[in-house]
Amino acid sequence: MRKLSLFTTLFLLVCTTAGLAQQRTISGRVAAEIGGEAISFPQITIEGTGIGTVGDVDGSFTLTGVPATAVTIVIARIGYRSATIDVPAQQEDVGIVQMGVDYLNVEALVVSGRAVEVRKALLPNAVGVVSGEEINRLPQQTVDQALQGRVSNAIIVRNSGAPGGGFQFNIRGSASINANAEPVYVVDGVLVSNTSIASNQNILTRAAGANSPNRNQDVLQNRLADLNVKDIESIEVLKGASAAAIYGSKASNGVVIITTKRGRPGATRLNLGFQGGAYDLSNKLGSRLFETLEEAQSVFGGAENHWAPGKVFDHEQEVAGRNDFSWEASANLTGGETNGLRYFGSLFWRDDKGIIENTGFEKQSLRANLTIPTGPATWNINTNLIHTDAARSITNNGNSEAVSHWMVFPGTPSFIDLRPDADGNFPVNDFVPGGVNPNQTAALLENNEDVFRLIGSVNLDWDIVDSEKNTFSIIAPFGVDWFSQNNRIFSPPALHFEDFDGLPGTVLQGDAQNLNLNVGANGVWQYRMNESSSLTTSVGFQYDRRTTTLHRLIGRTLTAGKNKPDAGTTTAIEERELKIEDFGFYGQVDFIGLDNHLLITGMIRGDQTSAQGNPDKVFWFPKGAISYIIDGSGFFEEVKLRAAFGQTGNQPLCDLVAGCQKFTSLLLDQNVEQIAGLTLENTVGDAGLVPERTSEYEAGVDFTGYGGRMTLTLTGYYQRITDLILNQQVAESTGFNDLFFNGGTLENYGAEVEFGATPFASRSFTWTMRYNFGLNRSNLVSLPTSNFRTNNGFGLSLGQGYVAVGESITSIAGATPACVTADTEIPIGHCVEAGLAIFGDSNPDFLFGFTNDFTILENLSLYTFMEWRQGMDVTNLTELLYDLVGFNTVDSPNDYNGGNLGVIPQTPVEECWPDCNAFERADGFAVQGSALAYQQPASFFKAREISLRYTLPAGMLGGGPFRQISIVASGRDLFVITNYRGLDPEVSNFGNQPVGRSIDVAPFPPSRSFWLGIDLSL
Amino acid sequence: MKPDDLNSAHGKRAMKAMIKKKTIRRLLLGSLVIALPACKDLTSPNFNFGDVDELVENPSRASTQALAQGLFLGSRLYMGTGPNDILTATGLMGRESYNHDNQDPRFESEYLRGPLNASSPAFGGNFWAEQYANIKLGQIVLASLDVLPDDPANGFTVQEKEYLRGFVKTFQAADFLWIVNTRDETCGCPITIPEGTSTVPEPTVGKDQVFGKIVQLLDEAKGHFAAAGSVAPPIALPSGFDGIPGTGAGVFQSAAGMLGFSRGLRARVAVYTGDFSAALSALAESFLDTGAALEFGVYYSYSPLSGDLANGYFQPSGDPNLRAHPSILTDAELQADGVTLDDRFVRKTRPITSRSFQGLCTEQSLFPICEVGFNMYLGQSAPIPWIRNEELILLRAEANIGLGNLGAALTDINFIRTTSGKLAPLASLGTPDEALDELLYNKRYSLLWEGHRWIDTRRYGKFDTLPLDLPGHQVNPRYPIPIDEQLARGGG
Repeated sequence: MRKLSLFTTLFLLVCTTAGLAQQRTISGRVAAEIGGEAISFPQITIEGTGIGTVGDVDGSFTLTGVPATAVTIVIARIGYRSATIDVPAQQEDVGIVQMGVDYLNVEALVVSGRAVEVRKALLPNAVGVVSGEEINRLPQQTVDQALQGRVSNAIIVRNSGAPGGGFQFNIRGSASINANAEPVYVVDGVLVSNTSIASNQNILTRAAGANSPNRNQDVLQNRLADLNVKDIESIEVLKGASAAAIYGSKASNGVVIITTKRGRPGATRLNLGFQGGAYDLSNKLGSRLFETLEEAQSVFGGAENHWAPGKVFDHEQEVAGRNDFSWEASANLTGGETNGLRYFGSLFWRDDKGIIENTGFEKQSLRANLTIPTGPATWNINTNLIHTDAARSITNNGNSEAVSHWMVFPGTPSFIDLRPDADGNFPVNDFVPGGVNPNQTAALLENNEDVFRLIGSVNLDWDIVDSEKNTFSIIAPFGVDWFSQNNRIFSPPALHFEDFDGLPGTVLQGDAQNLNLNVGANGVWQYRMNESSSLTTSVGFQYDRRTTTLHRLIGRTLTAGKNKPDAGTTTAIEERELKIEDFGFYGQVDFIGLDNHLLITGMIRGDQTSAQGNPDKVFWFPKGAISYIIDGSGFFEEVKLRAAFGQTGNQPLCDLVAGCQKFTSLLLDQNVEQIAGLTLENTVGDAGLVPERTSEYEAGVDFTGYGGRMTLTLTGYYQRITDLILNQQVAESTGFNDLFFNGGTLENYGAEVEFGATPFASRSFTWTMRYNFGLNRSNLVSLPTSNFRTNNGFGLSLGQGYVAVGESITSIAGATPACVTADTEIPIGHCVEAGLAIFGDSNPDFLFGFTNDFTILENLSLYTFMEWRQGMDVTNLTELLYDLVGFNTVDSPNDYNGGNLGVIPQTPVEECWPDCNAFERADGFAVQGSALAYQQPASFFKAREISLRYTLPAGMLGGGPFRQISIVASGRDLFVITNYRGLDPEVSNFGNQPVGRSIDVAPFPPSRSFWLGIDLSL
Repeated sequence: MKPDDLNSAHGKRAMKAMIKKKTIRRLLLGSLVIALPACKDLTSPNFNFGDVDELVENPSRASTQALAQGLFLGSRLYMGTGPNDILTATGLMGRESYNHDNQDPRFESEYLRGPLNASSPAFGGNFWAEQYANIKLGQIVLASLDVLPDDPANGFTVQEKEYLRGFVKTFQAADFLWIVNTRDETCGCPITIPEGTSTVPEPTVGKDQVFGKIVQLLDEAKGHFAAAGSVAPPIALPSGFDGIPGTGAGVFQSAAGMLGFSRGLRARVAVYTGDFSAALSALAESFLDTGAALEFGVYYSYSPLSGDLANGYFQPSGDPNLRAHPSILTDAELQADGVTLDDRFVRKTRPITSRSFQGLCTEQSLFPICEVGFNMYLGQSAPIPWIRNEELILLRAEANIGLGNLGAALTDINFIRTTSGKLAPLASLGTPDEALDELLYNKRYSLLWEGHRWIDTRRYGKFDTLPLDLPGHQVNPRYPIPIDEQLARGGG
């Protein structure tokens, strides 16, 4: 360490001595506009030159080697608006320079290429920028959760309330039907995996049946959940092809660039935090109350064994009513030398206890980020070791005997007592097959996903040439993201349902290994024509490899009651393997001119991947962008006009379980009494499959005014997606079910508004608001085949995704007799053909995020963050179960039971929708054959985050070791306003998928959480 | 926002130096080394699956054997995979059984109330794709046999090829039979499969032509088995071809055994098409044997071993989802003692917990009375009958009734009544109509929950004999053509 810094010092000395002869020195001090405190380590540069320095801890600086002529110096510091001062010839002392707080992040640097970045002020795209500070106002379980509602047009939907996620991240609508739906995630230059590997809880729920390899109903986590939110310095969201083209054939869904914290120069600072809190069930469905025994018997035969007047149990509360103590402890330290080694290290431990017994999410993270300057080269080394353990209990769809909690409740009357007796024995639930008692299931069943993960990267940034006119750097990132996912499912023989199939006891051990390897190199040449013009040319390549293996051992009939697969008398093994390799290269030119008012960018990228039909073929993705700043006057200081065009791709999918879309496969893992046989996998792959191509045009106007305290960003975009990868359901009489091929055209267009303002900024009161609004419309322009239903879902009789020309790609369609012909007018939605209507859309009409941040008397701050989503719909099949199978819905009329169905005529469900009662809905579905009965509007307004922080005045610290102490009280998802009748309008039984989402079947219930914590700095 | 502005272009300019050309050269070399792994071939294999192109275009003896053995897997895809399968469907619609699965209301709404919905893949859209996929698999095997040499080292002997052709065509006929059994008059059903990986559907034909195709396949199979002679089976066969499963006798493994199986199916088809004399001649070539056990026959095989499929109808619980229709109890005749019910009822059912279950057992409920359960398919490895001796005997009786030979029919019916039902023999079958009712009674109890009653009552227009539990219930006469098939053909 010492050697390095010595070398650096020497090197600086040499440099500065060389310039002394004919030049002057400029010195000064930097202080805050409000309060006048010193701003430590400001960064001072002379505009248009490579001359610069970094100030001291007290803000004072001395700039040497300054030309004797008049110069302009630019002073920058993270978190502050930059200051520009014209220094006339000869002047050597500029006195105190004041900097205003950058409340709205207008000074941010944003990645505009693989190796170059540009000031946000000049950026030609609307890039969502979220600071680590903003998302760390209260404890966050996962990054996806932290980002919900914060970036305009980023639709982040939680699939259920299960601890640890799954979330689906969808930017500017769905850009695909069958290829990837998720953005690319880049953490400190490493493409990290956000894959979801199913637990195969299907062995208990049988949601997908015995033969289907599809495990997408298994309440999947996505691995982004592993990251420690507290380590994040900033997140940039490149939304569309025009911004993300540099990521080529993987980037049609956008790119999320996460940068973790790095060492700040200065004395070592230690920050400690502790948060304690609890989760609380925030919504229940309730069940029917029976006034008389006769009424109870009309629905529940055998009610006489359990019913008594006034005897009512809240089964949902019994199962999901826990409020165990959850906590989070974090520590980080940062420090280093201005021109030497800088370090950031963090420790994190979080233990979230879920509202259901044996659920929760545990996370431990250990990080060390080092910045090592060695002469002209800087090495950034990041290492992160993570362990997470998500305990999930059992939720979502199932078949046969009910196992999932909310699959059991529809058939369980409110008058049966399911609580354990004094000896801990759980009563059998007489009213459901298998006698499933959800209290017992929650107490005894284990379903854990345990992950160890290592993310490491080395980034070399080498300034090879650095002259007054030219700089040339090599930037070479190397990254590894490895994780090992272990799934343990143990359903002990004691569970009532376990002997239902004659195989008491089930255990599963799943082991998945995933390795992402990235290597790349970039060369960046910057040519400065004059003070305010420059031309930056960069070229580079990237190679990425993703390998995954999966092994599962399943054992049944566990006579000894141990969770060992080989103790089972019936065992099974499953094995899967996957490898995907990508290679890409690019060239980019950025021109900055007209006194830093104009930016023109041009880029071309070539990409090839093993997932495409012909891996040797290179696909080209161009990009062009321009932005121009008009100096304003009065309120608007700056108006930026920008326009961008770009193309990206979406690779054909290679799935660990389903295989690659380009292959036509035979199943080889099945046998009859150990006689092996090959069977057709039923899908015809396309050996010529090419990536989907998204072309995006984006234009916008950005206003900055009121001393940098007001920003308004208006953006419009139009995307055209061609060569869609279509999975047509073919005529099954051909022997095949599905056919993959490229074809069709989809368009997505929309608008985004981001508004930020700090109307008040003073010592006594500061108010900062950030509002974002986004809307997207989708239209399937053409399809080379007839319309088709999407692969997932339970059929059009219940409502599912439907792909039709002229419609939104995320349409929900269903059968209805109201559609006599395709032209019939119906009250809700519209007919697409006889008997089939499009009722709704799983994506919202618009999204609105509101953040308000108040600081009173510097010490007390209140932060509120709300989200409003309008106009999406959900297929509520949980309600269908309560209605039709259990006759147990809370709004069932007293005379309602199954026997009346079809006897008492009902009005068409189209007439009472969406306020039909249980009987009308059931009749609509079962008698009228209309899927409309269970389509429900699911708009919502959620109070995502509220946090109140009190920072002790400096005087109260009493000269102790602490620099700062603050106390925080906060709450998450405190209330929801919605008309949706299910547990939570954010739901997806089938997890993450581009289309055919928002089907509600017995999800994990939602919860709110409350936290109290303390943050210490020393 | 970037975390450390010291790393930005501004900051870096604070530290500058010129690097010698040598260093640059080293650096470029370094980047080249980094770049090298990226220049490699990106081809990635199809890890977890067999490759169709490889196995279809370059077949071998081993791959053809594996594909032929795959027909066992394919034929099982709709039989015994789980509690929503063909016996459940035909059982519900033929009022033999109930499914008290409280997680899917369609067991009532589609099967009992109807109509079947073409767009529910697991309900009204079922029993189509799996059958055609298996017929397709057979097509691949037949094509391989045509190109493989007549040499057991690389291909098959001529006799082995004949065996396999007969085997494949018998399986294809059985798959077509389920298509026409479920779709019946709804066909429009194709009887040819496009070549290779083409997904352009072939033209459809009516029910009669589907039966014609089945007859053609089975008659061709007869010729192939005859030509195969006494060749040892070139494939492994599961215990379902033992005769009595699990005995290891392997009765149906030889070409002669296969022929008996194939002709049994031919007799069933002949009865279905009303070609009773053809039925009698097919039965003569079949394995019908009044001296053998009634259970003697061909079965689907299951096991809980890894990669195999356990019998999905096995329900050991005293409180199973799959229950017998109560009319099975009320319609059962009494044995000669006047007290004991028909032995077939006694053998095949058991009393089960009257599950006080979601109103399913009350007077007004969807499923009245629930105390009758099945005592069938007892075990993970329990076989499911494909066709067995008892059916063949009843088919002979049915053919004789159709031909007006009531005397011959009486012999067979009395044999079944006394042997299987322990009932008193009848003196006469009465009128032809009464004879038919007696036959259907025996088919109902002899072949209980083996997938026959719905089809048998439909063939004779006797849906009105099936009890409807609730107002609004009906008997679905047939399955629709699945929605994807309709859409792909431009309908919908």
